[in-house]
Amino acid sequence: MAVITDADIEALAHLCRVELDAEGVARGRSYLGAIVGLLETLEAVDTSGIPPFVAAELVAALHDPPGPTALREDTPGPRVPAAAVPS
Amino acid sequence: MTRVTKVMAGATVMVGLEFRCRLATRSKLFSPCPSAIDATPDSQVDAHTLALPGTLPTLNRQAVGLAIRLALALDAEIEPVSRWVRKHYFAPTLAKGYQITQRESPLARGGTIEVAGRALGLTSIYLAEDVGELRAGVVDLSRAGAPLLELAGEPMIMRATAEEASAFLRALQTIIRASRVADIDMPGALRCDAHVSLWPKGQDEPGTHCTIKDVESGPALEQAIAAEVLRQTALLDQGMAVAALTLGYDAADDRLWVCGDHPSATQCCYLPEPDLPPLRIDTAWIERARAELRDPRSLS
Amino acid sequence: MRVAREPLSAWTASETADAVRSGEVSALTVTRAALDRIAAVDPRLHAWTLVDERGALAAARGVDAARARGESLGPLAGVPTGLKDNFVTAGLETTGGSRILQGWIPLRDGFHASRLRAAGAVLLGKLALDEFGMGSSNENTPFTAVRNPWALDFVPGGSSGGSAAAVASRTICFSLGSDSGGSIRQPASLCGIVGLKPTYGRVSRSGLIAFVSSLDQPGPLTRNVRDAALVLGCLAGHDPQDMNTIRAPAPDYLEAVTRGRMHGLAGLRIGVHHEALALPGLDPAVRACFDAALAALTAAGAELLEVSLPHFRHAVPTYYALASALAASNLARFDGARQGLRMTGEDFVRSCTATRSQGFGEEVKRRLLLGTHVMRDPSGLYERATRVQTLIARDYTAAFERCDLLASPTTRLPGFRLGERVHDPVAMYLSDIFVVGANLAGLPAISVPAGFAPAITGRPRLPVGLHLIAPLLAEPTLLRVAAAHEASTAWHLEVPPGVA
Repeated sequence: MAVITDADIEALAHLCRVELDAEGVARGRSYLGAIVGLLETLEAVDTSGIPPFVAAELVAALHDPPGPTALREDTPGPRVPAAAVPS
Repeated sequence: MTRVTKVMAGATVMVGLEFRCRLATRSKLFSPCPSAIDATPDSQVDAHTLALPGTLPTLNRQAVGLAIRLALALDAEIEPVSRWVRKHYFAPTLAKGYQITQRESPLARGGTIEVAGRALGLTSIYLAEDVGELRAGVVDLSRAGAPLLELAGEPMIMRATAEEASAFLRALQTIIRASRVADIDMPGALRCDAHVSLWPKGQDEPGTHCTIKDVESGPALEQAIAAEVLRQTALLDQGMAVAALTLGYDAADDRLWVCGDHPSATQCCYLPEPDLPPLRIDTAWIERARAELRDPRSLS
Repeated sequence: MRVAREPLSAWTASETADAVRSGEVSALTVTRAALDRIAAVDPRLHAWTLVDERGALAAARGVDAARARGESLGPLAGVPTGLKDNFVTAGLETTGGSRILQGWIPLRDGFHASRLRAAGAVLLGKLALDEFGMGSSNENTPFTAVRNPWALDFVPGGSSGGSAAAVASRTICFSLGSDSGGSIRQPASLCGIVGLKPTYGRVSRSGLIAFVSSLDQPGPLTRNVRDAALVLGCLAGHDPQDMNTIRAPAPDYLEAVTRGRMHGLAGLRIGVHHEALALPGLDPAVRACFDAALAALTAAGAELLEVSLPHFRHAVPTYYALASALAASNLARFDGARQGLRMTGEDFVRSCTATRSQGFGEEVKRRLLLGTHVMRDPSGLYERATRVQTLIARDYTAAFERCDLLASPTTRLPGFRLGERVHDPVAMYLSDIFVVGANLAGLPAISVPAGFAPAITGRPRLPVGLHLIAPLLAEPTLLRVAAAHEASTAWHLEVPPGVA
């Protein structure tokens, strides 16, 4: 079972740009400890030789008529008006 | 203008070079937003550039075609399948909070830039979207999303490093000009990062490297590397450690300056980009790009 | 044909569109009735976060004017609808259910609003959700939690809780939700309505605020199967703005519904995964409803057989590994620099941190921590999860060699009270066991009304859902079987007593 410390939570919070007070850190530690334990059950699965699932490839295989996913032509589209760009 | 670079006795200068070439497409890499290299600040944005919720990337076919062309001009091997990743970090110039790139699974591998018999080997050539610019605290997203072809060079060991780095940059400019994939004479068309470190004699490994970012001309690159070698030499001569810094170089003042926060490799998280299929390049596409290279009248 | 004396709120989308097209009723009348009903019923439910009366009446008048000009009207002509508030709508605030996007008014419609308007639908407003799609109860919200129309102190489910409650309470006959890990089907089940998640890539995600990019699918919530087919037909197809949409024509979904209603299910093989059913904690009333649903399907001619899904126990952890990492990734753009909430700070790190700390709710913050942990995990947790995902997808492929679709209950319990689960996220997550596999494998799936758990001490009468999963792009099979089930039951005709 994973041991998650307060320092781990604080480091993660900084990385995702979220500030937690002491209570938030404690709640985060308890939550992560429980869920990471759940995720660690995946370590028991034998995935040798199994490729990662790629949803985009699932889609590409379903095109009818078969063929690759089309790329976009290099035609410029509209800009957003300058007024809509936040300063 | 060359200058004599003072190096610690017996220390070897290590320079790694990475180049980013802005491909001359009409629209951005992942959105149809116009993508002129000389756009005014904030004049060239759309919903995707602004990372508005609900927007998705759409890959520009012309950008891929130009990338293949330049990779072939550099004698690189085109990978039949390459994949996109999200490189995450927080920066005001990075609207999505991640940059879509191909670093681990690049479009092409290998390739060389040759200068007077010496060769700079390239390890990988890959597409990435550019980020915005920050000038005096103001963010400009006109450049964000423009198509870049990143060329990563092998680390080198040389003596007259600064001069040779400059020669490689100029040779690359010539190749790019001939292949017509970029507006090479415009500012910003080709930028170079130089990773500079010293390897003192008797040490097991090279020292910490610093990175000089976004140098655009051969002479500036030469001067910047020379200045950095001087700076690191001075630190080591005084028994001080070289900190890993990201630096800019002001060619007009011949001055290195420390950049704002730049994420180190360990700070970035990567995820496979789920919104884009793997990029498949078949031999027909490669042959078309080869034909474009051979034909001096080919339009970019 | 519509019986004129029944209230408009009882009409289905098909019936409404037919009546508007024929001139039997004006779009304006229909829209006014829907707006009146929202005002009467929704104050108890809080399903609607925004009602755009002016825009709706203008759109309805537009439909009527088009009809008067002799123009042909679309398949959803005059039908009032609402979109979950993670769909982008022009001129209507789109918050994603979060404070961090409060005040964001998109300039342009996303794909879905655009398609529905083109089909003639009248957009009444936006519907409440768990913040950014994260949750199964509609309690993860800075705004008011939504109530289940069948029992006001029970949750409607989530994250498309508002979309489900609005349809179940008959303020509208169809809404749009989004489903990443059961978020259309679970609330549909708890609210006694139909909820459909299409094959991954069947409907565009452009204009849907991204959550789990590799699993998300928009889909309809309706009161009957035919309406689900009708709405799916308006949305399915290739969209160049989403490179992960399938370039293949959409079949005639309405024909599949007719076939199911008229021609039974002879020859159809339905797989049941008994191992999952045997897990402790399945409510006996849910089990009883499921058995009755299977009996109805076999009476229609279907054959039942047992299937094995060897990796099903790993579906929930796999989902949460992927979902948390992709959520952290997709929410990285909310830094206060552009749209929505903007907090100031000495520098970007501080302003960004202040914005995100103020703007995100508790569940979102937890998932950001988890997702960041997953992304950085040196043992490659994310990649491992995607490999387990492949194994799960292969389990379904193997099962579908022996059967045409899979059946299960949608949820393990018929419902729970507001506040009951908020402090137990793990329990909440484990309740997704029946629904999450379809997301991981990209398969189409539907929940349809399948009876009620009778009132017992401490719990009122609550709806129960039947869950069906079909192979990739086999929405016609789903709709056919769902229609056959509906034809032999009357669950979908019941009205929640509190809002009749």
